[in-house]
Amino acid sequence: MPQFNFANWLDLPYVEKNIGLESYDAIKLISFDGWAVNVTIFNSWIVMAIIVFVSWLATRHLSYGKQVSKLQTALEALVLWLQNEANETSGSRNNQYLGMALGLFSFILVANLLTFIPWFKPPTASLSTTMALALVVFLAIPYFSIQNAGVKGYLRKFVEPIPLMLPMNVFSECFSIFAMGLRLFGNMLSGVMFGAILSAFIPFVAPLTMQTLGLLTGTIQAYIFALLAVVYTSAVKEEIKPEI
Amino acid sequence: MDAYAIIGAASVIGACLCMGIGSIGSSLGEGQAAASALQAMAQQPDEASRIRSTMFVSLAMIETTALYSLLIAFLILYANPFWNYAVNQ
Amino acid sequence: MGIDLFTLTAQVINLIILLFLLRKFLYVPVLKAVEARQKLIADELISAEQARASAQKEEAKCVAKLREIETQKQAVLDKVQKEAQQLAVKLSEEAQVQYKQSQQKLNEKLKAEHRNFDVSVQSLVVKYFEQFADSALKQIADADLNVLAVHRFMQKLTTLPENEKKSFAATYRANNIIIIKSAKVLPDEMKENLENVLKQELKLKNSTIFEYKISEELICGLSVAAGEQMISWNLQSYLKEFRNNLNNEVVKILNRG
Repeated sequence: MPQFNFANWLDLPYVEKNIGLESYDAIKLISFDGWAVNVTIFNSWIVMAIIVFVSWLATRHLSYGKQVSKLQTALEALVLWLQNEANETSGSRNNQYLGMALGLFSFILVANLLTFIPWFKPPTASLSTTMALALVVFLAIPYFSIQNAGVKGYLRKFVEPIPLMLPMNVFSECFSIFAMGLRLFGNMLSGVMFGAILSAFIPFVAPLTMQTLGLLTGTIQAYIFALLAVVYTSAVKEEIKPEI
Repeated sequence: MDAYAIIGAASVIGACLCMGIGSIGSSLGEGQAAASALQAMAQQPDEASRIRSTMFVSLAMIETTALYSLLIAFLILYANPFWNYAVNQ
Repeated sequence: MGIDLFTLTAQVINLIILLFLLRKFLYVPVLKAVEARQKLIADELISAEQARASAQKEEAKCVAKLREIETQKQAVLDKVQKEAQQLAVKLSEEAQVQYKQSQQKLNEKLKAEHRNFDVSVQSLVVKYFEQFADSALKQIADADLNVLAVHRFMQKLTTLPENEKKSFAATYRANNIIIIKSAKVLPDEMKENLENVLKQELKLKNSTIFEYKISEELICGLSVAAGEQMISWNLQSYLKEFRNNLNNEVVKILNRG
């Protein structure tokens, strides 16, 4: 029988129980025969639910005319901005990377912004989540590369400029993705940790400054993650042979 | 001195050094980037918003190196594998 | 710190689910809406452009119409002006003609009055001279003068040209009567003397009847008439001649003036 332990959700991060860094994955909310839904997964669901609910709210009565609701206008601005960024960065015109960029951006943004709720443990402050995001990008690289340049074009990238560079290229690709996940994790972890440490010393007002800075950092990180994902996935393109 | 003391002291010193030395390069780089961005904004006020957003992105990228050292410091302080190894011994 | 494989897998699945949900709920419909609105706006822009073009065309048409009306107005104005000028010229000409006519009429009237005046002056002058001459001669004329006149008549008769004598004789033969008019009653010896001279000069028959008549008009002298033909020596004829000459002279002087 599943065991519910939602009281753990209300623990303030890193403060009361003073547990280690991997704590988010360890806080189990629903235990079920050895499997457990931890707070990272649960908070991810919350984030996803918020995103999908807002999207559904905006697109429920989609307006094609001139009278547009405020929510739809905001989401249109977001989508168009990301579309512009993705298309400009990748050089593609068909919104190929828009879905991935939008998913990553909205997920990371909402997760980061929700750190303003004291009890909310952002899923992006868990290495598992950030690595999962990086893994998605890592999987998206061959997907988009093969779509754009074919298998040969994708594989040719690893043996350029000389075949000797093959291990270096593989390592570089893996590490760039790894660094991407690590960057997001480091940012969020530092933000949460600073908040926690500061609130341990000065419980009022002082953590607010760091948390406010955390909002800015979180937004920028979301943007950087989405942008880097587009950059990495669009690195291999169909070669345009110069006409002689 | 037993192993705990040596590992603990080395961890703390290492974390401090890691953070201190690691942040030098990135802070210098960030300062350079901010200075260049400000100069560019002063020269081209029309492009200020575009330069500012680019500056933020590059600052975040540069900050990554400092964050790596921060991560290492955290790792040493809170999840030191040698500490766990010594405890398990 | 560390990676929990279960959490990692779950998060990957979560993210992929999120991507699909976003595709369904967010960006595909939003992009569709944006595209539809852009198309709407573009259509409206095109229609607005068309409307503007048609408005411009309409405006150009209006301007052309206005210009046409302006030219028509100008033409009508010109025409009216020309007509007015023509009318003015015509009227002035008519006025001039009328003025000239009236002037002429006036002139003629003046001339006529002048002439009438001349005529009346002339007739008055002639009349008064005639009266004066008449009355003067009548007072002068007496028996002696009468006898003298008869003598003058007889002298004239003798010096009369032959052809006049012949024509007189011809008219006498048709009537066989001679009428002798005189201003005063002639004495018998004068009558006889006259008859003899007449018979002799005009070769009259002895049986000729002489009829004597008294005519005050003659003033002095006498006239011998046979039908239409007449031989005379008297002051009346002289007076007549004088009057005619006087009349002519006065008319000449008046015309000259």
